[in-house]
Amino acid sequence: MIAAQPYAGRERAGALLEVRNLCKSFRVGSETFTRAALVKAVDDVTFRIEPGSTMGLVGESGSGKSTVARMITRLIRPDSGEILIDGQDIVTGGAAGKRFARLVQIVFQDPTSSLNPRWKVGDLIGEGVLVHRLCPRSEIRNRVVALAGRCGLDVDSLDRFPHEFSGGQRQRIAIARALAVEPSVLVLDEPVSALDVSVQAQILVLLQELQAAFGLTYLLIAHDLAVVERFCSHVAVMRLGRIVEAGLPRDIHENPKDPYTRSLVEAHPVPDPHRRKAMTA
Amino acid sequence: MKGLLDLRGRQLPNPIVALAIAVMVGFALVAILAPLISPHPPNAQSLMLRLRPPGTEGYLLGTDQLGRDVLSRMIYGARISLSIGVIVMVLTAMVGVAIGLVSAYFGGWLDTIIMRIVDIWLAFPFLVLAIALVAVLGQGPDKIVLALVLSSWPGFARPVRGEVLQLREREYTLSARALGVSPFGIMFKHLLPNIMPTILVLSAIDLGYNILALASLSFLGLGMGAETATWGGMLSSGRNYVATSWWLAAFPGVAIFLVVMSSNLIGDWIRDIYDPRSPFRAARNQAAGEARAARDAAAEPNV
Amino acid sequence: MINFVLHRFGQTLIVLFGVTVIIFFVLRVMPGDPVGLIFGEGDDMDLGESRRLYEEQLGLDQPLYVQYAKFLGEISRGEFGTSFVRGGEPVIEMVGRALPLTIELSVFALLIALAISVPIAILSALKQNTIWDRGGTAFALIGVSLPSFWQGIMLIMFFAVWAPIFPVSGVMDAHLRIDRITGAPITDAVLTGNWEAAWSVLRHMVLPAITLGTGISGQFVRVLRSSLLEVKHQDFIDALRARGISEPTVVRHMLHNALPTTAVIIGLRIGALLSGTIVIETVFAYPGMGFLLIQGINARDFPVVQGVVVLLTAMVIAANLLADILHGMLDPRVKLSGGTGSGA
Repeated sequence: MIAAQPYAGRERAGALLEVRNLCKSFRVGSETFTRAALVKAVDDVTFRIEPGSTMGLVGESGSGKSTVARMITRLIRPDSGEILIDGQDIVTGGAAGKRFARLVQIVFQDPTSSLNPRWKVGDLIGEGVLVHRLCPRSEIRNRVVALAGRCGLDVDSLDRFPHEFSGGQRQRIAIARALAVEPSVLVLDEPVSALDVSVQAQILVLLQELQAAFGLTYLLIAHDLAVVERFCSHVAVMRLGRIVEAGLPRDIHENPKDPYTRSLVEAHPVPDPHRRKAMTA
Repeated sequence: MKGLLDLRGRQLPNPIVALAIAVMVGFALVAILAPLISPHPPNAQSLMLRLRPPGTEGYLLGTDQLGRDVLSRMIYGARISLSIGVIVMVLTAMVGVAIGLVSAYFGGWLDTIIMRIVDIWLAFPFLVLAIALVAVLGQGPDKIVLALVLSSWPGFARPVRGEVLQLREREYTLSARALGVSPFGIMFKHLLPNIMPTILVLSAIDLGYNILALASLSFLGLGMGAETATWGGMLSSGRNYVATSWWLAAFPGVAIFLVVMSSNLIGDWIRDIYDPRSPFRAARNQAAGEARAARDAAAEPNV
Repeated sequence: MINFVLHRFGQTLIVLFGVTVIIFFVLRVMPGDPVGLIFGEGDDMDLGESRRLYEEQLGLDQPLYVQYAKFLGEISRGEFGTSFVRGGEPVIEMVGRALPLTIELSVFALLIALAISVPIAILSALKQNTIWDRGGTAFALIGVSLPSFWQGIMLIMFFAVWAPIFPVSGVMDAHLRIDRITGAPITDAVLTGNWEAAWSVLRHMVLPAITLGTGISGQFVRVLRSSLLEVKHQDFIDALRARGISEPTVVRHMLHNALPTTAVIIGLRIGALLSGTIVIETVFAYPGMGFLLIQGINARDFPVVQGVVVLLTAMVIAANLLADILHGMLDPRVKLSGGTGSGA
C-alpha cells in the first residue's frame, strides 16, 4: 500500500531550479523567395528558485514567459543557456531526457485543451505512472485513486471523460496528472486564469496544500500581479524576452522601478483599502 | 478509448442514411454468402440459354452472351468489389494515416519532403496512375490492390497531416510530451483517437472510390482477368449487346451506383455527426487555408 | 504577386521533376524486364529482332541515372519513340492527333458542367434547407456516385436504340473531311468554314461531353454551394441588403467572392476530368488520349503508353499552376500570405 501513495518515502521532494542565460529565437515568415526574420522570444534570462518555494514570472502575452515555461519542461529546446535542477543540466541530457520528466512537470492554463478528450480521467492521471513504470501495473489503480483523492477528486470520477467535469475539477485532474510522476518542480502556466473567480481560490489553496505536503518547488506564470503577490515568495517581471525587474512581491508592488512594472501595478486594483491609502499617500 | 465510436446521444441517422447503411449491409451479406445464395455457378455456361431476358425461368436477371446467369455473376461480382474495396481502404488508410501522422508530428525537413512527394503524387490524374501501375504490374487481385493503394494513399496522408498539425500544438499533446511519453506513444495513443472521425469519413468515401476505380479498371479490361465475374467486366462485355440485351449492362451499373452512393452518404453522415464544420475546412479562415481545403477536396480521386 | 508566381513556378518545377522520376520508375524500372513484358514469352524471329532494337532504344544496359537523364532529355524534346504496332509511326504524331480531340471534348464537357452546376449551386445556396437545396444536394450526390461509363452506356442505349438523335461513336460522319490546321476538329472546321463538318463533330461530341460533364458537375455543385454558403453568412452581404441593394446585385457580389475558390477547384479538377476522358473515350470510341492509352496498353505498345501518361500528367500540372495563379490574381489575400503553399 505504501507504493500506492505518491511521494511515499520521499521526505522533501522540492529541488533547486536554476536558469542561466537562457536564450531562444523563432523564425517568422519563411518562404522560398523571402528571408525569414528572427524574433528573440527569450533573451538572456537568469533566475533561481529555492527548494520548496514559489517564484512568480509575470508579463503580458508575448513577453516570453510561456517560452521559458516550455523550455524548463523540455517542450522547446533553448538556443543557449542552462537549466539546472539540483545541479543537473536537463537541456544537454539528450536521449536520457525521459527521466528528466520525473523532475519537472507542467500544468497548463486551459484544462479543456490540456486533457485529451478521448481518455478517461483515471487513464489520464495514471499515464505518467505507466510510462515511467513507477509501480507494478496492478498497483497503478490504487496509486491513481490516492493521488486523485489528494487533489480533491472522487473515485467514481476516474471512469468518466474530462468533458463531464467543470473547469475547476478539470484543473484538479491536470494537477493530479502532473504530480503522478512525483516531480520536484512544478511549472504552473497561468493555472487559474481560465477559471471562474470563485474557483480560482480553491485551486490556489489546493496548490499550496500540495506544496506543503510534498515540498514542491513552483514556478508560477501569470499575466497580472494580483495572484502572484498572494502566492509567491519572489517575483520576476518579463518584457520583450528579458527580465526587467525581480525581487520580493511587496517591494515590487510598493516601489516598482521599471516603467513597465509600474504600469502592471497600476493596472490592477488593490482590494485592501489600507494599502491603497498607503500607495496614494 | 470507449468514447471513440460512441454515437449515443448524437444525431441518429436520417431515413436516407439508414437506407444507405442497409444497402451496404445488404451487399456485404450478399458478398459473404455468395456461394450459398447464388442460384448458379458464376461461370457456368449454357449455350442453349444465351441472352435470355430477365424473368426467364431460373434466371431472375437473365443470361449473358455465353448463357451465364447474370444474377449469380452479380453476386460474385459483389464479393470481388467489396472485398477488394475494403482491403484497399484498410491498407490505404493504414499507409496514408501513418505517413500523415509522422509527417505532421515530426515536422521540419521530413514533413517538407513528404509533402513534396504528396504534391507530386497528386499531380497525376488518379486513374492514369492506377492504369499505368496495373499495366506494369499485370492482372490479378493482389496487383489491383497494390496499384490502388499506391495511387490513393495521399488522399489520406494530406488531410490527416493537416489535422495532426493542429492537434500537435494542443496542450494535451504538450502535456504528454512533458510527461515523457514517447513520440510513437503520443502519435498512436493521443493523436490517433482524436483524428479517428476524419479517418472514418475518409475511409467511407474511399471505399466508394475504390469500388468505382476497380469497376473502371475492369471495364477497361485491366482488372482481374476475363474469367472472374466483376461488375466492371460485366458492363464492358454487356456494352456490345446494349442494343438488344439491355440487362447485361444495366444491372451491374445499378449495383456500382448504389454502393458508391451509399458509401458517400455514410461518409457525409459521419462527418456531420462529429463536426458540423467538417475537419477538412478547419484551416479555412484565411485564403491560404481555403486553397488548401480546395486542394484536399480535389485530392479525392474521381473516376 | 511576382514573388507568389515565382514561388509557384518553383514548386511546379519540383513537381515536374518528381513526376518524371515516378514515371521513369513505374514504366521503365519497376517491370524488371519492360521489354519482356512488352514482347511476352513468345520468341519467334520477328519479336527477337524488334526486342533487340527496342532494348537498344531504351539503353537498358546503361546505369539507372544515365537512363533517367536520357529519358528526361527525350521527353523534354518530345521524342517518345515509335509505336510498335502501327508500322513504327512516331508516338508524338499519334499523340498530336489525339490530344486536340481530348482537349476539345474536355472543354465542351467543362462548359456543360458549368452550365449545369452554377445555376444549381446558386439556387441551392440561396434557398438553403428548402426543397431546392435538397434537390441540388441530391443531384451532386448522384453526380459523384454515378459510374460515368455506365451512364455513357445507358445514353448509348437510349440514343442508339430508342431515339437516334445523336451519334454514339467516333468523331464525325465518315464521308466528311476537315482540313487540318490545329488538329482540333470543331476549331478547324469553323476556321475553314466547313459548317457541315463542324455540326457533325459537335453532334458526335454531345453524348461523351454530357456524360463527362454531369459527373464533374456533381463535384462543382458541392464546392460552389459550400463556398457560396460561406460568403452568404458574411457581414458585408447583410450590409449590402441593409442598404437596399437589389437581390441580383447581392448575388453578383456573392458570386464574385466565391469565384477564387471555385477557380481553384476547377483547375484542380482537370485531373479528374482527364481521368474521366480515358473511360468515356473508350465507351464512345472517340480517338483521343484515353482511347490511345487503352489501345496502347492492350497492344502492349509501350512507347504510346509512356507518351500519353507523360503528356496527360503535364497537362494536369499546367492546369494546377494556372489555377493557382488565377486564384492569386482573383483573391487579394493570397498576396499577403505569400503563397497558398500546400507544403511546409
